[in-house]
Amino acid sequence: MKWLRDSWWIAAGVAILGLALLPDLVSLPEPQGALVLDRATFIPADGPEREVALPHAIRSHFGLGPSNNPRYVIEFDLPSVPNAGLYVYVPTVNRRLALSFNGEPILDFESSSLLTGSSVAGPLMARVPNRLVPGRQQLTVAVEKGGFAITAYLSEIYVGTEAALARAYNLRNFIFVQLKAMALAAHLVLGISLIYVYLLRPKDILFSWLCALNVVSLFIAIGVQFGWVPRLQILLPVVNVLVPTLGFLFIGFSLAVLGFRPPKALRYAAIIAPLVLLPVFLTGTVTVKSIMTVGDVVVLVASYLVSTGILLWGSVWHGSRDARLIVALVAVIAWYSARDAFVVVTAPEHGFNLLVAFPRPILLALVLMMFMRRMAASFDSLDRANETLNIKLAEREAELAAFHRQERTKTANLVREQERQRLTHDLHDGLSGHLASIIALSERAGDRSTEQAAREALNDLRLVIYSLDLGDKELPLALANFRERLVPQLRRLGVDLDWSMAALPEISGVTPGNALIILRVLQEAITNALKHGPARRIAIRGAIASDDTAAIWVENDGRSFTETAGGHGLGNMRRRAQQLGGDICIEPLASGSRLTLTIPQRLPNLSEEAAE
Amino acid sequence: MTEPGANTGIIGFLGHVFSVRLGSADMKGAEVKQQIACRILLVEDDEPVRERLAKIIGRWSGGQLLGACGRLAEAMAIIKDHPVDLLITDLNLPDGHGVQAIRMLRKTYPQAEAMVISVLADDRNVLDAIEAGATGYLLKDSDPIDILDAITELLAGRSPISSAIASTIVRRLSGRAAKTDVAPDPKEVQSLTPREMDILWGIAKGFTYGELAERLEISKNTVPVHIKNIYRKLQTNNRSEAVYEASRRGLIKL
Repeated sequence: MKWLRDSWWIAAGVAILGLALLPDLVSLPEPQGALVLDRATFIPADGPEREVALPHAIRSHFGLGPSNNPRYVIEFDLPSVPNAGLYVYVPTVNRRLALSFNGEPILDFESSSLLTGSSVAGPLMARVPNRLVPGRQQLTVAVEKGGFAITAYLSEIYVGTEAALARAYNLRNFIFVQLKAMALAAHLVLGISLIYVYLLRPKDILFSWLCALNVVSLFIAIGVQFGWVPRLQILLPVVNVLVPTLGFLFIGFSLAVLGFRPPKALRYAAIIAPLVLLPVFLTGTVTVKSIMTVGDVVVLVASYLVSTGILLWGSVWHGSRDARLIVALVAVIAWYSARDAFVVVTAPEHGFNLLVAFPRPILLALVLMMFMRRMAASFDSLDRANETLNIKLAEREAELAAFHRQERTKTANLVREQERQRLTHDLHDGLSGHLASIIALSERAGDRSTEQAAREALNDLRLVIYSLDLGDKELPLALANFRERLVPQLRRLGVDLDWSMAALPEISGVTPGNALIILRVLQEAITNALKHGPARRIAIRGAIASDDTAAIWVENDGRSFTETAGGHGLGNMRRRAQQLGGDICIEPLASGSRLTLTIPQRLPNLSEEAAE
Repeated sequence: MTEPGANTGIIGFLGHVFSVRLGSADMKGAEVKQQIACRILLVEDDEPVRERLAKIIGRWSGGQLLGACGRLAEAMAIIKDHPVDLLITDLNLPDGHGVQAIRMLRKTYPQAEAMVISVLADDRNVLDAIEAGATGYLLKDSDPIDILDAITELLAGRSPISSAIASTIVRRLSGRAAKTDVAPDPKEVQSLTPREMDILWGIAKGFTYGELAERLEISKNTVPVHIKNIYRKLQTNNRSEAVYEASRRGLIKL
């Protein structure tokens, strides 16, 4: 991708170079088949007349030059009068002109052109009256030079048919009048929209500098393009003294593009310069005005060059994409304005074309693009920020929810633990103590059946209390507890116990409730074995029944025992086993019988199901 | 007793056997006392139960019942005045707690043994007593044979342990290890040997003594010997009251 980016840069560089050199590389077509008038008699208002070659420039010498309203008289022979009518075409005029043909006025530039300002150097074409006879003709060009520093310039003049002249005229008219008008219109539209942007965000440094730059540059653009309209001429001094301000604002704008706050001195200079210069300009002589005008232009060109330097630095070393976007065009503007200044002073023979008005709307369009990109970037970052915020919010919510659940469980556990402790304490001090007393009393009295009943009650109480303390995966602990109580019971009866839970798989989901169910089933199975078949030996073993079930066998070596003989107790056991998603099954052995309790390896949570 | 650090592997095991059978002064003393009849003090506030136990112990030729008290104060008075070899006490007494009697006994007669009478043998009560110095417990409703069995076993250096008590001890030891980064002062807490930890774990997991002996390749009869050693190491009478209380609270889950 690097070569692609490089080729972009190279293409952009070539395009900028082409744009900069365009006016000097390309020359506009001249009329074909027309009479070229390149010699004239120059008649100053206060001096001797002389022969000059066209194009001819009247250098103002800072306003001290010859008379203000000179005339050119051109005499030529016309062999025949064309039927289609005869036209006079002047490619470049930069002053108000009046044309007379054989003493008859045929055109006044002021009334024929919309744009009449110091930056306009447009073409002019006029029809010669039809009452012509072949032979010697006389064309008089009166120039209103005025007190301006800009050199007055008259190009060579063409005389010919419309067909011969129109194309060249139209092209020049399009480029130097219409296109400039369009540029001004674009400048106006974009400038106003950028002023609006400033109103939306008045605190932004870039926007405020750009707004000031726009106001001043619009004012100057209107001034230099319409400035010779008599009613607008009053603006010209203001336009003139605002030119340095334009330069200062441009430097400030360039700094703001890079994100720097322009120095305060620049702001003060932009405000104070016109205020100081205006009275000087209004009261000064022509010479003073001319010197000031030249000084203004020098300041402006220098400011453009400084801005170009700032933006170049910003785009190369500061990595500013905005600076990269506009730096080339600002360089072109600097070059064009320097070139314009040169043209204005020297009036070179190959043409008097002022160009700086053309790139200005393009610059504004680029600035708009810059803003669009900034806006898109800020939308993007807004989206990203939103997204990040949403993710963070969701994370926090999840965290909070988890914390809440944890807290709730903790609280519930705490409450349960407190309750359990209270219950244990009560049972310990109260009920179990009383049962122990009853056992002792009935033993003393020889009341075997009461003693037995009290022992069973105490055993059952222990079953309940021990299971209260169980955590998940603590079924082996519950079973061990059960075994520890079973051992003395069976020993008293003379029954051997063969117990092993080593092969029992890990059972999860153990709660006091479902552990108690398993223990009760086992208790019942043992009671049955003792009651129905007088067993000598009871074996209890844990095992894996299938991938997700476990089994506990209770085998006795007493009488063979069938399910039908089970009766009520068996149904009870089955119901309990099924509550856990398990079952029981009884099978006779060669001697004795075997009860198998199957349970899932993951026990259901009975209290939760009940709650649902 | 033996050096706790040395009790590893077969040598450690042998060390245990020797220390219990031959080397240990208090075991020798206990065996001698048993021959000349062990002096037993019974403390139980419930009259029928006290009568029953007193009758069972009174009939036993190996023991001499010094007294059967219903109150802590009586028991303390007897401990003060008469040498006692074995104290069998209930924990909840009308004028105090059995643990107080156990601690006084261990202080007055360091060689004497103490047993707790509990109706439920629930882990917390029994562990409290063990920390005070008891090394065995009786169920109130046990048969006479079982009661005398438990007494003789204890005097022979063997203590019972239920899986519930074992699992509480395991939980407590791992909790203590997790709570304090610094190693406990060896003078204060004698640490359990790996073998003792294995036994404790095994019982807490629900293995029988037989299964455990097979797995650890030891004799079934030495399991209760190890257990008595564990109890002795858990005794906290050499610690201050505050530490005792703190550890007691730490014992409670949550």
